[in-house]
Amino acid sequence: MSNSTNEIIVNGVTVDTKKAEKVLSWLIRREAENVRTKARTDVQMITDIQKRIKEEAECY
Amino acid sequence: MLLKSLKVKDFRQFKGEQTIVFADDSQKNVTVIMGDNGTGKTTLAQAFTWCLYGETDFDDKILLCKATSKDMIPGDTEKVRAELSLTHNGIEYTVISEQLYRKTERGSIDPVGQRKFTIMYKQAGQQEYVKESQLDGRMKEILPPELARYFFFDGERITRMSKRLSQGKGDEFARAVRSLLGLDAFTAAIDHLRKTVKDYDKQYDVNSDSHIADYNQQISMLDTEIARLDDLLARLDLEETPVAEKIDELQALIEKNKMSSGLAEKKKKLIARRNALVEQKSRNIGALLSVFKQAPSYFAKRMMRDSLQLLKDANKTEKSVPFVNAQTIRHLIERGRCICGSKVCNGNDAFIELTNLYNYVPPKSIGDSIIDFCDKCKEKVRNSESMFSDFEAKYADVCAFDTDYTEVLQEISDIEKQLLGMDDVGKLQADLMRYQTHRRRLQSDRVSLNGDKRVKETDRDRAETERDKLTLKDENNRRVMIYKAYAQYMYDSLRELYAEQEKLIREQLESTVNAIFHDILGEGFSLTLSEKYDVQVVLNESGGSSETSTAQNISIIFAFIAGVIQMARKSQGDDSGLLVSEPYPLVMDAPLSSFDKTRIQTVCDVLPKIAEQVIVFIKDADGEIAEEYLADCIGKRLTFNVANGSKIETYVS
Repeated sequence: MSNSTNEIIVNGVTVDTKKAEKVLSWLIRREAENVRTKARTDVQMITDIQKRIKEEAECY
Repeated sequence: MLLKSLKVKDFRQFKGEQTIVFADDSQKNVTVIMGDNGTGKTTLAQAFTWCLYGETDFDDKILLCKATSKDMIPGDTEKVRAELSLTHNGIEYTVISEQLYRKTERGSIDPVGQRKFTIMYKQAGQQEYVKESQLDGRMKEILPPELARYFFFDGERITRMSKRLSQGKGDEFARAVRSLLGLDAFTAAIDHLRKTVKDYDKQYDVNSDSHIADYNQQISMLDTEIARLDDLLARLDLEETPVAEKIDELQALIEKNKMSSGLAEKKKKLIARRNALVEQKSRNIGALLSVFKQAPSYFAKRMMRDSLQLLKDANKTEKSVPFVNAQTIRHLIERGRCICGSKVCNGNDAFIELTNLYNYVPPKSIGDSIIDFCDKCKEKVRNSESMFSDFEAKYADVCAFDTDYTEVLQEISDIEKQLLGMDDVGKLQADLMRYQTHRRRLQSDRVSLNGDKRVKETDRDRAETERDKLTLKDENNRRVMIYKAYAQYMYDSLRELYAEQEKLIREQLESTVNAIFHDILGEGFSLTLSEKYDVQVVLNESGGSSETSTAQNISIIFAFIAGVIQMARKSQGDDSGLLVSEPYPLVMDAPLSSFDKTRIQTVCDVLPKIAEQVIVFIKDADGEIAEEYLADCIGKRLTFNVANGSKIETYVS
């Protein structure tokens, strides 16, 4: 259920889909690189994702 | 990745340092390397994989040129080197593999140390070296080894790959397609987002409310249980796949072996016919031989005719009196009176007449014998008159046997060949029932496990909702919840997007591959691609599936590789999509040898249009045709020359 074109409620929390899509595009590029180089481990990738989500979610 | 040049030094039969520069012009993008069998085409194709990954298919792992090693004295060392210049992602790379060899006192050649691997690249005009610790990663970035087989391939490998695809073992190909077209990034991102969501659960501050810890524990236990059920379901899938394959196999065998009972019956009848023919032959030969009993008479006909004539001329037969013998004459003389009533006494005319007659009556007379002989002659001549026609007829019967017998034997042999390898239908049916029962049990287990899983998931979702209500009361936990909601949203939308993209790519691939397949084989057949990337060849007219020939099999894999390359090429630089891919060269060893002239023409027509760069190694026989059809696209043309008929020294010109 969304209350604006860019917002959606997930588990009772409002998510800005525009911000989420931005993180998603970044993630795909990062994953495409990592699929080949295997430079970053799963744990490092999870940390990177959480850091990026934090940056975007807290950016007003 | 596009190839610029390959420099080899003392690599197998390539003596000294030799350089091959590849065509990389967008219009003239084909490099043709021609040579007779044994001149080193396959060797050079292997030089690529050795240079990039240190791997070759050679049985003899010593790569040092034999002509070079022959000139070495014990203690001497020589280096084998392969240097590949290429561009990738706009960067110029030089990849070098080197291996040192030493000649021992015994005269053998031993490698010294490991292969030395170097990657250099140009950055802002400066030559840089990739650090040793990053070599593997960088090589994987340029072209992962598991994908290399789709770009550096030979005829044999094509055949193996196409068989696996046609047999429904497309997993490996599916992985390669996903990787080449950038879908691997999707699956990796989905996996990392799922783990990210889980990781947020651990970040809740349980001290804010003691119930959060309880819910966390409950959720964790339910997750463990769900994971266990997922594991069991995955095992069921693994177990069911071979069972389903076996069922398909048995059903096909039963269908195929339906013929076997009919064939066995036919064989029985043919064996009876064969035995009858053998008996008939024996009878015919006996009859033919019995005709020969008349042979003496047949061949003595002339002699008998001459003898009869001589007897007639001698008038011998007329002097005798039929049925009168010597005893009759003696009786007439002793009684002194003849049959005619004349008195018979010693010396009178009647006596003299009877005495003369005595010489012509049996046993002393030959008159009866002559008459007898004449009768026998006539009978024998009469009996032997039909000998020739009898012989002809019997001989024809004997000859006819040979034709019939050969035909029956051939039919029996054909049936035996068909029956060979056919199984007992009854046993196959029993096996099929057993496997079908097993599959039903597995399917029932799956239904039960899925039910359990749904219950656990509902419990977990309820616990999560309750926990989320509590976490909202704490500022830090609320923040974690927001991040988690973002991760959850990304996870859900990416899964949805992946499903759409994957389906779209599969459909595009099927269409692209079919277009290429039709170019090569004509419109009669089409390929369908299942969700698991298994391939089926379909007859366009009937719509039914078809058995594949060798040329079709090769065309299938050829069309697939070319199709993937074409799609990768198209998606390059397409910023609107999420696919990330690179152009790749096609390096093929003897790709045309399995095709006839017409298909060589279509393959030659299709290749340069699809791949950004094509390097083909071909033997002289195919080379002339390939050169004829590729003429407009050939940017470089090279030939392998063998030094003085030697098998160990090849030069590129």
